[in-house]
Amino acid sequence: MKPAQNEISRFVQRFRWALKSLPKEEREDLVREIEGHLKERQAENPDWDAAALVKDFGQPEDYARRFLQDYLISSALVSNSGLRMMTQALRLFHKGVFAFTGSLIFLGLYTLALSILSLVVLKFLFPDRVGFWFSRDPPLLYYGFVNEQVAQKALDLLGFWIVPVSLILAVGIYQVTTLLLKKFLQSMRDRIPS
Amino acid sequence: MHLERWKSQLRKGAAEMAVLALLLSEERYGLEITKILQRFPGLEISDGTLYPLLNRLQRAGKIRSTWRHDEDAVHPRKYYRITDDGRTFFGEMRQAWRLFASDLTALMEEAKHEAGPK
Repeated sequence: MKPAQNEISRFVQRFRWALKSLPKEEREDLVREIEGHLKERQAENPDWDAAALVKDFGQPEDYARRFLQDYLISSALVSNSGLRMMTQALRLFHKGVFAFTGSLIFLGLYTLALSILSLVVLKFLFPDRVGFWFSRDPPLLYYGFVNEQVAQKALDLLGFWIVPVSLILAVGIYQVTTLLLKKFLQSMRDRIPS
Repeated sequence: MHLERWKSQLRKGAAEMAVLALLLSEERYGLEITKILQRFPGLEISDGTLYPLLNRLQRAGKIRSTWRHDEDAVHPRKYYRITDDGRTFFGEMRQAWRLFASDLTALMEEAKHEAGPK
């Protein structure tokens, strides 16, 4: 096998391996296309050396990443799963101020939803310590888990109603966050250059 | 600011529109698209840049592909064709581009007029 053909084979092998997260059919389709391109370039330019053939593609692992990123974001968007979308948003963390800030905000919102949801369980475990607390002196308005001292002095405005209220709040925050995260990921996908 | 970097950003911004324009009238494969674009220095994109762009357009439903083995080819080729959604999208891009080009030209004429003869 000529050196240029060796280089093409090596590139294609590494490219295929780097695309292992893609479904097999899509992976093989991409590999076949790039391999075909390189072989056709080689046939048209037999005097080109191996490096000249692959130079526009860069390292196969970096090149594969350009396809993977788009695939992973698109799959997360189609799944409508908050967890999958959040995972992709965190992967884009380093792509600039917008990505960094956005990822942090969404992580914060999901954490808030989870915290509120945890109150549903905590209310049954610590019924006298979980509530929507109010007191005038000292001034206090607080939704959540408090210590014994505060619980004795403050008034719980909701009692066990905190359970359905927290459920509705947590689900509401999760749904709104997931909707906004979807838009954020769509805009990030459009910003990421090919 | 580097001129070559700015020009590269300009080409990247126009790349999707250029590719869809080439697919309006007939099916084409990747290397063919690259060679045509290389005839236009202002639109030239590298071999490596084209395929992620085609992948993205296909995933967005703007183009679709089929494999064919042409007699003159050393390897099967993946041909792309524009979809109805792609045609609509291209129409909108073309409108936006015309507005952008005419506004920018008008602005430059105005700036040139205000600067006066040198």
